[in-house]
Amino acid sequence: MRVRAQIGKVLNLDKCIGCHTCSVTCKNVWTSRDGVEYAWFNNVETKPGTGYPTDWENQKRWNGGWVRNAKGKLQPKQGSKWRILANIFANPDMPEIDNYYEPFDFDYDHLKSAPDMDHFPTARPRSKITGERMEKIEKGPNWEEILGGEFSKRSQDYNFENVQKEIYGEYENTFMMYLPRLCEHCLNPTCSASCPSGAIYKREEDGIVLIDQEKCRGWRMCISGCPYKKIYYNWESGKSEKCTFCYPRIESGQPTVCSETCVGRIRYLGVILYDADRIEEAANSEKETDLYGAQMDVFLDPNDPEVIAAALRDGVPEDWIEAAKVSPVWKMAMDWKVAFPLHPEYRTLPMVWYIPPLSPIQNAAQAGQIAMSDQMPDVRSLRIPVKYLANMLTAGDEEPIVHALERMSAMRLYMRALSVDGVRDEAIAARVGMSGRVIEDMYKIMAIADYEDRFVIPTAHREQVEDGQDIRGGCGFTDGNGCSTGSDNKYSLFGGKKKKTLTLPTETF
Amino acid sequence: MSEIDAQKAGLEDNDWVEAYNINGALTARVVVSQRIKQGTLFMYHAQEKIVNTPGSEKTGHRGGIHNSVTRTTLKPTHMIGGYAQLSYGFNYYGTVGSNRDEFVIVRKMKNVDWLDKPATGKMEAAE
Repeated sequence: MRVRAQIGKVLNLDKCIGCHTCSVTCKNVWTSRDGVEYAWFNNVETKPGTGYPTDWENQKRWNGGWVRNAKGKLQPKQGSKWRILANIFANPDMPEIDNYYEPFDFDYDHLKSAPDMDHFPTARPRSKITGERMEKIEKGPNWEEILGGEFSKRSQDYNFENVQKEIYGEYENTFMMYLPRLCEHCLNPTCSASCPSGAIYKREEDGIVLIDQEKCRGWRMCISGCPYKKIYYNWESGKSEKCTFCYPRIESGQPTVCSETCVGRIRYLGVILYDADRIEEAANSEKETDLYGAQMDVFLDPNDPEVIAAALRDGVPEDWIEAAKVSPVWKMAMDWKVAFPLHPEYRTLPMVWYIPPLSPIQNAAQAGQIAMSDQMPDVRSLRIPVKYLANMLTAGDEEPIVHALERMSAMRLYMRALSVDGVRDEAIAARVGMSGRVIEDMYKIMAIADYEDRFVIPTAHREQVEDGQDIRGGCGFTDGNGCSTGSDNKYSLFGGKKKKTLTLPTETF
Repeated sequence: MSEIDAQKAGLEDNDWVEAYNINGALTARVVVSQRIKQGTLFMYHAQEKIVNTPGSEKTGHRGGIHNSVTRTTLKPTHMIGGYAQLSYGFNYYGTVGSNRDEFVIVRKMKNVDWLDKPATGKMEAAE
């Protein structure tokens, strides 16, 4: 056993309202720069839909993630090391800008600088890539917003596999949900395995996956390697970039920007202890449907004395173990089993998990005849087909999804009985294999979702990761260009234009 | 717009369209969606004609906002002026009877004219 800790994340899709606040605050903080106008480290997609970049989930097309080869060995789907090297000058699996969208801005200045015209001016879109006028905006990071587009296009969604999808194109039967996406900070990241320069690493102390901007040579094999398409190429700096899990914030015990600003309080952050020795075996599970269970086997119970002893031996700080015991992520993923990994079949063991959404019963006409078991609607007759959610979260296995939806549905029923009739109905809890006390805890964390319950983040231990002697004379995480080191590097940490520094009066002489 | 209506009108998602009736006209790009009931049109928020709005073929002026096709009425506060939300534009901006149904005709635009040529003086002459 080799114990490591990671700050894991859970997104409760049952509460996501699709407001895009996470995307906008993330964009403002991280990608509001030249070269990454098209990049959204966090974006929210409307499902069913083909997403951003288009059809990203379809690995038959993009060859992202891992495969178990004929010999039973795990290798990146885009090819083993030699295949990757052979393709570095012409990567067949590389998405192009049109697979994302052409970033644009509106010509607001025209509103005040337009010449004398017969009609008042209008601000037309202009490409952020070419600077040319765009006749029409054709795409965006959530182009299928609230079911926009013909069903024939939208239903190309990979999650419709093995679903009779035709009826979902009808007004009466259609359904939708939001899917906020960011880097999964996987336990078995294909991006880092694909990098010819060895620039991508997963931090042992908190599990965050980062690209070393000094080492990155812009080969972009990580972009095709990542099945979630969450690595972006900065065309100005010539290097790849990704979600940093807001590591400067996490290190100081603060939630990521997207989590902090989520108005629906759907995002949770907490410590998960895992066994680094079991990762390979789990990612190499024979059946795709076994991957969800296999990943749970990699996680270690922070209340187990043996795990605690091993964690201390392996250098996990005590406050991190304490935080793991009250981690909301552990509770939702492991105790209550309501959270699931996004596309476990990619074999990357993702660490951003999702709680599937409940949805209304299929339609009003059926309301009278819907299958009910003890006042609870049969979750299989909810508007969002269980198979669809299963294709997204458990490689197609419906049982765990049904189980989770039943528990969430029971939570509502139990709390209704408690708040309306003042009755603690243990029978409801027992039906889903829980107790009233557990359901009330679940309610507190999932529904009330106080700040302290959502974010349990121990601060980083600097003494573990750096020696003060080595960084003497350095200048923090800005990599030598935030303060002058005599370097002529014109780019900042991520390649944006360097801000003009204040000219001090002495320098003007 | 419902996908069924779009097919009947020969429209595809993201086509430039013009919606008009006796009150006024607006130009916009159409979103074809399965969540709109057949026979209904729905327009979110307030499209601003100072952003990305071409001219209407019907009126020869720039297309309006969603309220352009409803009847907008003047009320006393509109005369205060000085604030955007208190301004009034005939069948463009003001208090609307949007709780009443309005019938509109929607058609694909033949050509998208941005009305951004330099002044010819013709407009003034016409007025």
